[in-house]
Amino acid sequence: MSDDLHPDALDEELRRRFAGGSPASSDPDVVLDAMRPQLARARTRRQVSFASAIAGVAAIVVVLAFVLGSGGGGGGSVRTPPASNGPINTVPPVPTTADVGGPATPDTVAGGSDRGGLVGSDPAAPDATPPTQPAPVTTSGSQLAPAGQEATFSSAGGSIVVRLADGAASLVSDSPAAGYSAEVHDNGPSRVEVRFSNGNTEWRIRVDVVNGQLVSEVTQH
Amino acid sequence: MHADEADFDGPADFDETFREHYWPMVRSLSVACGDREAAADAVQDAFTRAYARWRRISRYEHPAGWIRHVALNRLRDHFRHEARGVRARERIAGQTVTTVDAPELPDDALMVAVRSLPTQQQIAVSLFYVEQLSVREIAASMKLSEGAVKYHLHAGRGALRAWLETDSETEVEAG
Repeated sequence: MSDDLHPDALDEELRRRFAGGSPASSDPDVVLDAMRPQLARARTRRQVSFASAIAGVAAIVVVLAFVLGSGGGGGGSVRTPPASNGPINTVPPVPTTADVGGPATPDTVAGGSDRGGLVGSDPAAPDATPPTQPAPVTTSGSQLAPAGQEATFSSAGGSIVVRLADGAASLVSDSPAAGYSAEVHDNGPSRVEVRFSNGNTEWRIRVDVVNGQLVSEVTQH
Repeated sequence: MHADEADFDGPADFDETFREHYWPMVRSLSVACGDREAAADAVQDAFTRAYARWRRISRYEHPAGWIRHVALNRLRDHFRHEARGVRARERIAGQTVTTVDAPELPDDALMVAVRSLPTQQQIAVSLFYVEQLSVREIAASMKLSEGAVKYHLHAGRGALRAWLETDSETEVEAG
């Protein structure tokens, strides 16, 4: 295209004509204030639709957990799906890159996560018994990630990928679970913290750089 | 996680975005469609949608581009409904606030000239001349490639310039 859209006198004339009827620039705050109730309603509607979507997903997760659980041991995975109500602890986030060995047996994985009292070493019945610990705040243990690599940390509210390079942690990506939205609270270099919230529940994944390695903590609020 | 998300200056503030872009957007869309109330409704609706999703939208590189795109779609729907004899505004009457005072449109002769352009050109020249957006911003708002925007701008601008020349000649002759 030969015309590079550099404005010339005719463009200025057009611009002037287009601006001809400009208002005496009324205050946008007047409009904004008038819109406040409408804005609040829109946000509420969206939250309600989120909540119902979450309920649906939770129901599916429970059914899946039941089906998978009754199908016999699922190999090395001990990631426990969240129950439909009440908090349930998650497994300490397992850095994807740290899993260099062969498939872990349930015993070895569970043995390394003795802090997660609710994580059953028997993955066959993750939802058979309700959580015995009603406290709303649960904490997962720490995991290390090799330097210079990326590691994934998960919670029921979503997961994040953190990169560790030259002793500095940085957020690579965050993936909220359905119905959750992510808020990046810290983004390195010494700490990465992402909060996943669905309006009622908030999951926080905090990853600190300790002695050159990533140490994570997952809490529910 | 989204390619078009960027956290350069931190998330944008909704109120600030509204103050900065509301009137320019209403004005450019008014020129594009020739209906001030419909434009104001569409822009308000787009801002309302953005507000409900603000935590995500605020992290976009151009939140206003997203809002303008939604408003343009809304406007297109509006006229599609109106063409079918359905007053879309009645349907959403409960959701929109009364337009406080929509901006005046440019002079009638110019509006007629704009009306004579194809729709995409109307939108492109309105965003270019009224809101004075860059080609890139127009492309983001219209969800077109920059090349396509340049094409529409080139055509629309050419037509308007030709009109302007004859219009001023007429004025000279008349005067």
